[in-house]
Amino acid sequence: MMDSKELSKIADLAGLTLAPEEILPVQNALTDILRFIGQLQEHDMGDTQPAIHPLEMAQRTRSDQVTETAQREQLQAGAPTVANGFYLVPKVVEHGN
Amino acid sequence: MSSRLTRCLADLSSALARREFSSTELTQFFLNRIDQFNPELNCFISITREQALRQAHDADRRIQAGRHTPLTGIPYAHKDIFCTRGGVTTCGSKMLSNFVSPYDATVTTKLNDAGMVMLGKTNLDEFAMGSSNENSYFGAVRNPWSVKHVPGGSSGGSAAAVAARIAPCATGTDTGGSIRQPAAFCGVTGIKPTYGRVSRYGMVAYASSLDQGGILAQSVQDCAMMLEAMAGFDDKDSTSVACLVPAYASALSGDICGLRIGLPKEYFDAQMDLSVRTVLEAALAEFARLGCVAVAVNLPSLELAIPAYYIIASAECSSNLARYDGVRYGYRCKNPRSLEDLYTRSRNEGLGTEVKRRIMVGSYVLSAGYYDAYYLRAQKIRRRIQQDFRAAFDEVDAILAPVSPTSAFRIGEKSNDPVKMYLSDIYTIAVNLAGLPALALPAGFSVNLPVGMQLIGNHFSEELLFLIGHHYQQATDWHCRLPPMAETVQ
Repeated sequence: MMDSKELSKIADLAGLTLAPEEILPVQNALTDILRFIGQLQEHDMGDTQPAIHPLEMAQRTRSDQVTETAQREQLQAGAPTVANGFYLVPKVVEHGN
Repeated sequence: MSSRLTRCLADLSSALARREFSSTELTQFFLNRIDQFNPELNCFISITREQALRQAHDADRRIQAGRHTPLTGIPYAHKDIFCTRGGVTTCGSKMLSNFVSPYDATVTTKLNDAGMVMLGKTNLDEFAMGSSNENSYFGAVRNPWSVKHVPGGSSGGSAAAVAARIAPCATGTDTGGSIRQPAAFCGVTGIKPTYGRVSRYGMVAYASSLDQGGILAQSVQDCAMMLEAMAGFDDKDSTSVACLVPAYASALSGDICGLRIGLPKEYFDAQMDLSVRTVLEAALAEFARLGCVAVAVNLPSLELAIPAYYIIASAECSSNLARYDGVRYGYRCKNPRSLEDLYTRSRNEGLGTEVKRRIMVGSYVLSAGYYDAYYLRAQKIRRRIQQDFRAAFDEVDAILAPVSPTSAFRIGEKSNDPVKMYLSDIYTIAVNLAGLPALALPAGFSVNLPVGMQLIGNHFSEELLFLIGHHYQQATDWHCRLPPMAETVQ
């Protein structure tokens, strides 16, 4: 069973905060899932190379030219809180620091 | 019963062209059916009534002026994972329940340009993560063949809408079977194209190396018509492939005699319900009558496909869903105490249980100390699966396989056991790992519930899959069957 310290670390990496009543069901589910996917460890992969792209293609690049136009107002229209073109969030810098 | 329920897209197109009815009348017909059946089936998250009638009116003018395409004026249902400008795109999630997209997905643009009429946005498992359409913030979708059973997922809303004939066709997406499995569960036809065939621009990402947009419709012919409009290179999608789009709809009349159909030993040895096996054996007999030759093939790496898929898909989803942080769009928690609280509480409150599970699994397998053991190893399995299919396609023209070990299961039967749910993807996910196209076809029934099969092809062989599938549908009528509830016309 995954321990609570490890669960807390994973939640932190995932950018999630688990409510107290969520911890045990999530612990159980993740333990089962990780045990299931862990069966890969039992197989020798030899010198097989990883395949990142399903068609073995490389990332296409394009010329270094500006193609997008400024659309701040339109893109911020649905934002939770904006002011003067900025997205507002809780303060991150303490006064005096 | 109105013949509009069962007419193929080509027939509807001819009927519109010769003014048998207008697009406005046809659209109103389907809007009425949505009003009649959607309360019970829950196929649609939003019904774009006014826009649909506006588009229908424009289509009628285009047809009158002779400026129409084969799809002009035909209504469709759009999976609510494709962005539609000015309207809500929810991805079945509380996180995006109020998200109004500032742009159209390329698929949306292409179907708009073809003159199609969007009836509404269909329900789905949240962010396309699920195999039953029970994971939607907007409630479960019900299977028109039995409302106690799931329609499959994640494109459950689209599949159910077509099965109940409340839309003649629908878009879907397939990352691990999410077009094919609901198609099989609902008795409709579905195509998952080759990776890169259909643009992913504006198709909200779940797993970027696996996602592909496609179609659910009443027949192979209908899928071919729609894919011809949807497919094609898009420079806004860096994974889009510059490969000519064949005239799929015109290429259904060739001969399939002598074509070799592969039967993977690993699929047919695996656990599947006797009723599914019986249906597959009958389908194989039909292909033999059509002159095809069955050839046994081996895909030895398939046994590791499910764990490999869930590692890769979860890893990619943890990265793709990191953007949902309550800052720029989507759900934001109330009264955040700090920036970190804003991020974590917005995500925890805005995302559903299965999505959070997969994000956590993905974060784990990508984390320091585990990356090599899980993610890198899964990508090596992926390589082996690709090699297995490549070797198989040296011997055969297409591969026949089941879609699911069972027909549709009951709502609630697997929703509390994620691993049990994942195991039901056994026949679909290897196709996504290898980026191959696959066509799901209705092939029979198991105690009044549809059973489907799939034809898997080599990269960019959709034309061949359509040809084989069309011949099968000319010789059988499984794709013409309607669930009893759909036969009611008001």
